[in-house]
Amino acid sequence: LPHDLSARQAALVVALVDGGPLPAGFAAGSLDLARRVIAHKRGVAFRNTRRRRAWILFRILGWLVRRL
Amino acid sequence: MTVGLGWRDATAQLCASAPHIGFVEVIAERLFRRGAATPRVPEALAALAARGTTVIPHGVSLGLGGTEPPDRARLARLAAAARALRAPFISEHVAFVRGGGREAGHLLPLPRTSTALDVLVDNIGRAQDALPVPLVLENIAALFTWPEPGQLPEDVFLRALLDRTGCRLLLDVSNLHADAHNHGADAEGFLCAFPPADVAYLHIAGGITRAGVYHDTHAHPVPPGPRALLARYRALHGTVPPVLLEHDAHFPHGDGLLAELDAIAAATREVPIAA
Repeated sequence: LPHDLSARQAALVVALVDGGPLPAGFAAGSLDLARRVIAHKRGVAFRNTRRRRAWILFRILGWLVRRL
Repeated sequence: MTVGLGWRDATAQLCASAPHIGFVEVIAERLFRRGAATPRVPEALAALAARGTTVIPHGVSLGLGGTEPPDRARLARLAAAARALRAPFISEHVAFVRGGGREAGHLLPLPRTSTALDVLVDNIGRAQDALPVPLVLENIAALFTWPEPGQLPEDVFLRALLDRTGCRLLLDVSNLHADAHNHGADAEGFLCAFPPADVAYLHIAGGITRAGVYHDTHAHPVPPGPRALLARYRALHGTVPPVLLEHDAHFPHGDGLLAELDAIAAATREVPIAA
């Protein structure tokens, strides 16, 4: 296995976040759980962001209606 | 009191009103607006600190196990949070969270090798130099294991880390339960390896088992396994350091969290939290 911890960590993050190839030595399926958990957390974060944007838009529309 | 609760918007009222709760912990990064250098401490949290409740900033993004040194701005924000809250210490994870310029979005385990240990010791030394209070290190729940040969058992790895850095441990019994269930970690050996003098406080959290895998969700009731580890710790060492319940989502109605705290208190003894 490569000894360069920095390269190993970088390859792992790419494998987990972007679905890149398994880094050397990792068995097929060994990162599936981590990939699912990270994808789920990113999905939650996106929904939260979208919800927040919707709330801001709602407040702006409310302000406009009151002005009219 | 020995029992604490993670301070969140949804638990702020409970933290302020429940006499059970002897200390709280706040996610340090959430005290800062994007790019801000000074914390915005919510009024309710500031009031808790002002009346003498211990508030611990808990970092989640320092990435002490990463091969790049910890970011100075992140360290400065942690230091500012500790000062603002008059915290006795700051806690962070034994993990890496980014690599090659990409954020993982989750705490990732390290290979338990001498190389990773050296990286941790170096990064923790830099963090200690930048922080005004001691740094406490938490064991994580590993989502995978590294294939590197000759890795140390986690308790041996963490023991060496504590010895070389002078840090104390934030012993997360739910993470330990997850590692024992999912990866066959030796929970008994782990509990034996860290007597109360080495442990600043403990974490416990809810979780759920799906398809044979234990998930440390912080969103479900605490199952019997982690509570049994608390009781086992007391049996082994005669006392249990302060224990904090983490709960981050799907907050129970009514007295659900109080009942959880009562169950935790039943497995612990009253020891005041201190630096």
